[in-house]
Amino acid sequence: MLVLGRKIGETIHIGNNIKVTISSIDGDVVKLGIEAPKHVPVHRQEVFEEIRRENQAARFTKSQLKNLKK
Amino acid sequence: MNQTFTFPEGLLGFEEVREMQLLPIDVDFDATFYELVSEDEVVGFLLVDPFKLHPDYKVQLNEEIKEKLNAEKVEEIIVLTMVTLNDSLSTSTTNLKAPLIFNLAKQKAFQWVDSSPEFSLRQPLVSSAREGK
Repeated sequence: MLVLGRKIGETIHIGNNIKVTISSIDGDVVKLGIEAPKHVPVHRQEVFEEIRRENQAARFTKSQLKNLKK
Repeated sequence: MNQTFTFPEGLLGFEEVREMQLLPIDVDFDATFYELVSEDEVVGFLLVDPFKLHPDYKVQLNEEIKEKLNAEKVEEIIVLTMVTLNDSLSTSTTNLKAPLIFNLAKQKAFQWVDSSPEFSLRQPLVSSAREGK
């Protein structure tokens, strides 16, 4: 992993059209400002974990299906 | 519609499943449901057409989505959401945060993670407004 040191207000560029700026630092919380084209999804890691859990909860069995069918 | 779709990225939690069959099923509930099952029938999901249940729901079909599905026309694309079953359908929920998007022409599909904070992972199939009717 590439690790870069940045101060508040400083920016890094990823490719030609993604910019990440250190907006503020408060204790152990870092706020990032992210500028990216609309079609580039930006998500917190936790979102993927939640979706993984929900997908696993949504998995269903043949017997559940039989009960649902008309 | 009874089609096999390729999921080039798999599904979160089911990364090994790459081929799934989509077939309509008749369920005693006022909505359009589909069954999505893996070829070996080990993994299965109940999907629903979210737009009839939630008229405010929308998915912006952006360039990234079209590219992932090699979609040439919007008409090729359908959006369905996963249902997490509870004791009955009226107490079950659907995942509006991460819809499944299918290209009917190319038979490719993937799960899209919506950035909009307004859509829930566990949206009740029956909204409180509908219950009141």
